[in-house]
Amino acid sequence: MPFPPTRRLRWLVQVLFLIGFVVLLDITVVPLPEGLPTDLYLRLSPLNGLVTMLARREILYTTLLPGLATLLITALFGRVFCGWFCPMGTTIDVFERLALRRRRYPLPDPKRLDRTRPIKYVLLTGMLAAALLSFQPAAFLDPISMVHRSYIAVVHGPIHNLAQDARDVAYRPLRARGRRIQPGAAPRVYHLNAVILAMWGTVLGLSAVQKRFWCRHLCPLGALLALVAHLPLLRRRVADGCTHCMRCERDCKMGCIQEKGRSYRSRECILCYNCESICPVDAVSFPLGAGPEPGRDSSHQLGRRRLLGGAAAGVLWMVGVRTSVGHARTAGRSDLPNQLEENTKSPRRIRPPGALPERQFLQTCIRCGECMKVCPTNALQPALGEGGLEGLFTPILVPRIGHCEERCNACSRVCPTGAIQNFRIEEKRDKFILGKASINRSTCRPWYGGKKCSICDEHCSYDAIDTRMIDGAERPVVLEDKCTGCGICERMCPVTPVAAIEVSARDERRPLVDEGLSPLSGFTSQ
Amino acid sequence: MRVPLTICRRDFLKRATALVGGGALLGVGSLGCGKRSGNGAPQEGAGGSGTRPRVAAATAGSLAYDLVIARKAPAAELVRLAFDQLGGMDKLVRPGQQVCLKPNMAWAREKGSGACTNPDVLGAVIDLILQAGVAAKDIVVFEHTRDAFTTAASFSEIQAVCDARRIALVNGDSQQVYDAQEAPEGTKFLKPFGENEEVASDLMEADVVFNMPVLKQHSATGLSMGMKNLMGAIYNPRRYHGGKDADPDSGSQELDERIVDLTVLLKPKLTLTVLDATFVLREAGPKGDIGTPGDELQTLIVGTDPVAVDSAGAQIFGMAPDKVGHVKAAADRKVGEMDVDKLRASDRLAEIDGPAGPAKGQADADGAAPTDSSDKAG
Repeated sequence: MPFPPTRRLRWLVQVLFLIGFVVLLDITVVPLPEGLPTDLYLRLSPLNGLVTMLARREILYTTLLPGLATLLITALFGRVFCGWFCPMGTTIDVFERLALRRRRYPLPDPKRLDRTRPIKYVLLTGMLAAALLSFQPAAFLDPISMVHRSYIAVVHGPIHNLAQDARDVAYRPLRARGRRIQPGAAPRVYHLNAVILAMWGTVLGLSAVQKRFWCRHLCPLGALLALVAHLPLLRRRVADGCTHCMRCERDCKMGCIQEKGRSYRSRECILCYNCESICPVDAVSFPLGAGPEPGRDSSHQLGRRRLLGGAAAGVLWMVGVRTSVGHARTAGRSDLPNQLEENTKSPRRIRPPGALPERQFLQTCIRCGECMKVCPTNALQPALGEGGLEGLFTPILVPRIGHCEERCNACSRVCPTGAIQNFRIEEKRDKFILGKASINRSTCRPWYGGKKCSICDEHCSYDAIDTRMIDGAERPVVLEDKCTGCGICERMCPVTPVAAIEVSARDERRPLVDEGLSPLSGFTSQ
Repeated sequence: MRVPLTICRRDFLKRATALVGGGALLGVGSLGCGKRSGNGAPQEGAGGSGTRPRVAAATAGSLAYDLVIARKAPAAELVRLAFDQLGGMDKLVRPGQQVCLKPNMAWAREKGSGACTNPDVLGAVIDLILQAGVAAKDIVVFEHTRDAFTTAASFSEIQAVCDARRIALVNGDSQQVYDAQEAPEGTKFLKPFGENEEVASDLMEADVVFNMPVLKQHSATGLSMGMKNLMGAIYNPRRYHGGKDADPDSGSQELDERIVDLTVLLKPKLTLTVLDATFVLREAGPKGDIGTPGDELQTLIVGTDPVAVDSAGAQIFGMAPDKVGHVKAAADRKVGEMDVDKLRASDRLAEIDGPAGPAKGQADADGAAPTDSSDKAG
């Protein structure tokens, strides 16, 4: 039985937008395509923009504009974003169709649903409260950020590696037939992909309990859109012919139909048109109109107590996370380091070039993973503890995996929030210092073993390593004033697994880029 | 819509295979390098290495000279001059042969910096090979870069040169494209049944190999020329720098001796060494600082003996060849001839004048050497 037109159209739109999402992720590689908004979906989330601007206390136009469009569409038509466009929602739908095909969901119990649905408002309030106190909460809960991170680390990584293996296998047989392909490139690794999968898997797995469990009960972006969808123009109408067969109530993705199909919670409705398509007597329709509808229940179950509870939870969350790493302070200047933070920062917390000063960086970075996807050497990895618990999933440079390529600014071009500021390649070497390299003289071969080796000197892009005659042998020394901490020396050092020359975040320099962000930087950046 | 989906094991396996294969092909197809030209005429005995009948490579004896030095002309003109003097590209390649070119494309450095082989030189050589009747699909340019492959290929303009001629530029990042080669006689660190060398299969299986290095200063080996450039054709050059089972007696010369080992291994494969000295990186080698233009020497050295070419290169640079550790070591081990004047050379080096005139005696070589690293080795 084919879907009726609207439902079929919805599936088509969903699939197309998911394909668009995957394609945009896929082309987020060096060389970056000119003028394509690779971070469009991230910007479509108004929640990302809102919490980032709250945390930064600054208007970020780049992040704002597409999110405003989402809000506008939601205000006009209801939560179509959730039902038609959200890559997380579509992923959940696809997962349900494939993995939970045989699942027979029980008839939803409106009373029980009403008890748990408000959790998302509590989470939203918590996020906003934390953001007001300069804490970036998107890392944990924003679905758009999560879905990017997950596709990059969990889906793209393995598929890429499989494809490279296939190239390697096919390379010689094809060559023997006079056909040449590029052999496999280096495999991609994403530290913590298991942690990221666990988080994502939980979101998907909850669908075994109820359809779109995440969207119904937990999604803070959905909560924000539900608040905006106050008087949508598309409203569900049930004609008199309704037989109260309950099929729509059972089939509703969001469990928002009640009273035997007669009424629905309009803030929960994501306009999936399931009820319209499944009605055996064609009694359900979504006409465009502004008049009151008898079956529309627009209450939001927000409650003062829940708001306060959510806000308190957000504050506790923020303070708790910060206390765990020794910088519980929230007030004060975010652009200047404080001494405790300086003393306790992990030496391996090496930030990409152009990264804002650490406190601002943590406030601005939404942990989407775009920089890790685009990094041509795979050097950028999600942090576990290196940036503190607050820095979970933020990008750090892992030199043993890859180095910061001298003539590359790809991460700064794809960052949706400007946590990695957009800079020109020419200014990279003079402006930013990721850290400093230092030589371990008890493992370095020329220092300890008397061998001739100057791999670090050879590879250094900044002429920051000098091979000098010291005590009768040629030995490398680091010229501190030239070293930018790119890590190519550590990557190439033949001493394994711990290199004899290592970069630490010591003396990092992370100035603000003068010109700031242009309102359209992500779309037109060089 | 509920499509009744009953799936049996066979179905599942079929689908899984199709899915995996399809995904892999998708990845393969989207990034294929070097567009296919012609309809890929089937080759005899298309199989693994060794089964394909080889067209005999030109012998050195059929060339007019063993060593040619072309000077004072634009890059493409230098190439034409040099190969004319040798006796023409027809003497070196024949249609149907597989040709592998190994330029130095290690770094993301521009043409003119002298850190990578001049793309004009590479392009002119490819053009001559194509004119000699070799199909574009039978030519491959191979490099195991140090900077990321994509940036090195684009900044050096070598990607553009290859794309324009539909030549495959192969990324040597994958260990799968290398084959372990047994050590031949006369090596010090490579040992039979001990340490093998993983060498690019594209190079080993080619009928004709042109080593196309650039002449430049090098912080570890004094100079980088033909022999040193071979380190970009192996999988693990890192091992050369004092591995843990290194010979304790060899001390600091291990790197030099290993470069000679590699030359011993690959010399039978090398048809020609084309040493690019159009722009020469004089300091901060092998990579050089950004924006520092190379010294424009407008010179090209082409020869059959890798040691002789490197020896001539050192003299063009202004260094005595026996002050370059690996050149001296190669001569000592009789891998090739260091005394260029003993060869059938097109020019006497001593007769060459100009700003890059060779070291007439060995006395002034020390002053010109940018680091003292070669002194120790030599």
